[in-house]
Amino acid sequence: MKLNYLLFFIFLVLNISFSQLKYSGYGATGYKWHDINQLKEYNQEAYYEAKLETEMKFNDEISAEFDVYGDDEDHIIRLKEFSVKYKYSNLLRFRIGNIKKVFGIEQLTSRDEYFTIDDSYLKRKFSDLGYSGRSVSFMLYKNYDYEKDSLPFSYRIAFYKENSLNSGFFSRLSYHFKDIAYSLGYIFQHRIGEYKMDSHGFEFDIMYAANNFYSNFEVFYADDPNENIIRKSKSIEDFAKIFAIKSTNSYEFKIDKDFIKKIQPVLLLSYYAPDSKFLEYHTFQFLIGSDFYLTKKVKLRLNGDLLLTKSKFDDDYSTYDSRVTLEVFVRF
Amino acid sequence: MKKFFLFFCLCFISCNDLIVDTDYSNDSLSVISITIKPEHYTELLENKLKDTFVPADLYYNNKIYKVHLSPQGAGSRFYPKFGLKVTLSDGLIAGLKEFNLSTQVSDNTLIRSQLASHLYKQFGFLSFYSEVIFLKINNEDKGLFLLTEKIDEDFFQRRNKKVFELVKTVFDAKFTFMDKNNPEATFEKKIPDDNNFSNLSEFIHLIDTIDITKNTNSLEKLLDVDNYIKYHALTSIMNNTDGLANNFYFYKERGNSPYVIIPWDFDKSFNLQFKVGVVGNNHIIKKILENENYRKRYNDIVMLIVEKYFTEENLFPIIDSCYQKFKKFYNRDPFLYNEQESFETRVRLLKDFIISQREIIKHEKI
Repeated sequence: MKLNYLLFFIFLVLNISFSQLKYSGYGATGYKWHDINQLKEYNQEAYYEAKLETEMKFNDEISAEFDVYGDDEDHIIRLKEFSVKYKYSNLLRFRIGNIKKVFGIEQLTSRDEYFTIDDSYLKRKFSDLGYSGRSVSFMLYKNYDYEKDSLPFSYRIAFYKENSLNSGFFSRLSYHFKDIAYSLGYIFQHRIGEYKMDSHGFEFDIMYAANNFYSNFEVFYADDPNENIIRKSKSIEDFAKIFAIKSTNSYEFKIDKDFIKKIQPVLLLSYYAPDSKFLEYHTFQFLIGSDFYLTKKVKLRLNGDLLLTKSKFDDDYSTYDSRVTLEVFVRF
Repeated sequence: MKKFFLFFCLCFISCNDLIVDTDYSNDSLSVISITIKPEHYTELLENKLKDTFVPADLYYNNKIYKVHLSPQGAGSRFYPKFGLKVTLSDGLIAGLKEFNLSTQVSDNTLIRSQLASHLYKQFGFLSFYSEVIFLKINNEDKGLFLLTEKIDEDFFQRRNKKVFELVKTVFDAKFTFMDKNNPEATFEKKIPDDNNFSNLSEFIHLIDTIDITKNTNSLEKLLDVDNYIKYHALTSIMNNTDGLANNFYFYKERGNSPYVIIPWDFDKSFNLQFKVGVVGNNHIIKKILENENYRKRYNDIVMLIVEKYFTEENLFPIIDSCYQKFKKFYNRDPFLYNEQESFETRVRLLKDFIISQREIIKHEKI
């Protein structure tokens, strides 16, 4: 409750102090069914969540952003992000705050702009390993604007420090050619504590976006710090390297009827091998879904997400954690 | 003026939603009284299959604690009497910052858990703290609950133990890859909190493939076999029908230590309906008993339990003491009270079971 008053106070102060304030956000409510042993975790979920994003512009160079988020899990409004941006030049900008670590295209994109309802399997796995999620970071970056930029590059380099055992840095360099972007990414994770571990992740992706069509293809190769800590403890020096590929594709059909304005189907395919030496043990993800736009900012969403996992020593595929999700999503 | 003051005091109390239970005359059983805003209680009831958190006030031992409550349990969430996880904002209760109020749905006396806990402790297993309490929510009797310590990082810290890995078995866990088996589906990795089951998978694979008549070393490296034999024998003799493929932890102190067992949740022990037998069935014990020395050890442990531990002398005083403690509260439990079968009858059935089970085990062949 105290936090609510605090947030109200912050909003009040912000409204009085700054003339250039921009609000945006989303609200979503839906129903999810998981293929999960319901004694481990209940397999059905009716949920709701909302996020409010506030952008404050102090002058042409300095701006800041803070996001608050709440969902049905704890019924508490939480501060999800605060960051300050400084534009030194068109080639060099700075950002400091609790921002997303970038390892792959999905982590570049907000939940309200991405094509699928839930994070992809790969992103969920990389979060487990510490390659994804938010950390307090200091980032140098340059975005690319097709109409304004003569140099067809964009980049980001950041150092992050978590309030746990991890710190490190991530970087991403992209070359833009017409509607296509080629990118290389690298992330380094330094884990301290009783089980110290340094881990590296490499990523390459191609992204195409034009004329209502969007497609990307990503390749990942990264250390598995959780597995490697176990191996290290047993004095095994042959460390596990993850190999994964993913492709996300979407097309926008304009309908312009009374009820539905456009339909945007999505197809996501991925392959994840926890140890690149044993590619026969892996998880496939097949996600098919569609967004039905009732207005530009209100949509109905349906995703069917099939996971096929062949774990080590098991001859059969498991569909564990496959899911079907239906959602109403409002952006503002 | 006095009336106004009294009215003011009442308003103040009701504004804080503080309802204090005054029935503490019986000092043998603690009463926990929770006060929760009706809207929050409704939220809790409407989300009891999820881990939704709501704030509340908890009154215990003459102190008020600010707490957060969330539904707790696995199968018990499907019953009208469901468990709660309690997280204290400040202070400690029974030395704990967080604990469960478990319903023990299959234990209609709340004595089974006490007996099992006593036996596992006597046998040297790492055990969690537990205490039967009487719970009231918004001054309404909710019944007898088991206050239980959670097995988490703090559990090991309180015992000055290191923990490298902790895996919980979930309902119908399989210890073989001969059947379809994705460990992620039937086990829960607790420490570290990730989905890496490579140690456990390696152990299960070994169970499938090892020729234990010739080589026990590789199994001993992954599992403390003597600890497991004790666990399996005691669990079988207690007729704990939910303790051989569910409700125990695999605990690894260091990366290269073997797994030892930490027992958990005993409400299906001393089960009067189903029989486990002297050697309850699972793939681990099947493999272990292929070795003649282990078989002999199992036999010795069974004999020791029957002679020394699973006896009227050892168990009946606990039953009698629990009976004395609980009897005043038992009939106030809306879910336990039964006109057809009294608390006394249930206690007698439990005692009869112990006597007959002991005789059966004595004469059963391994």
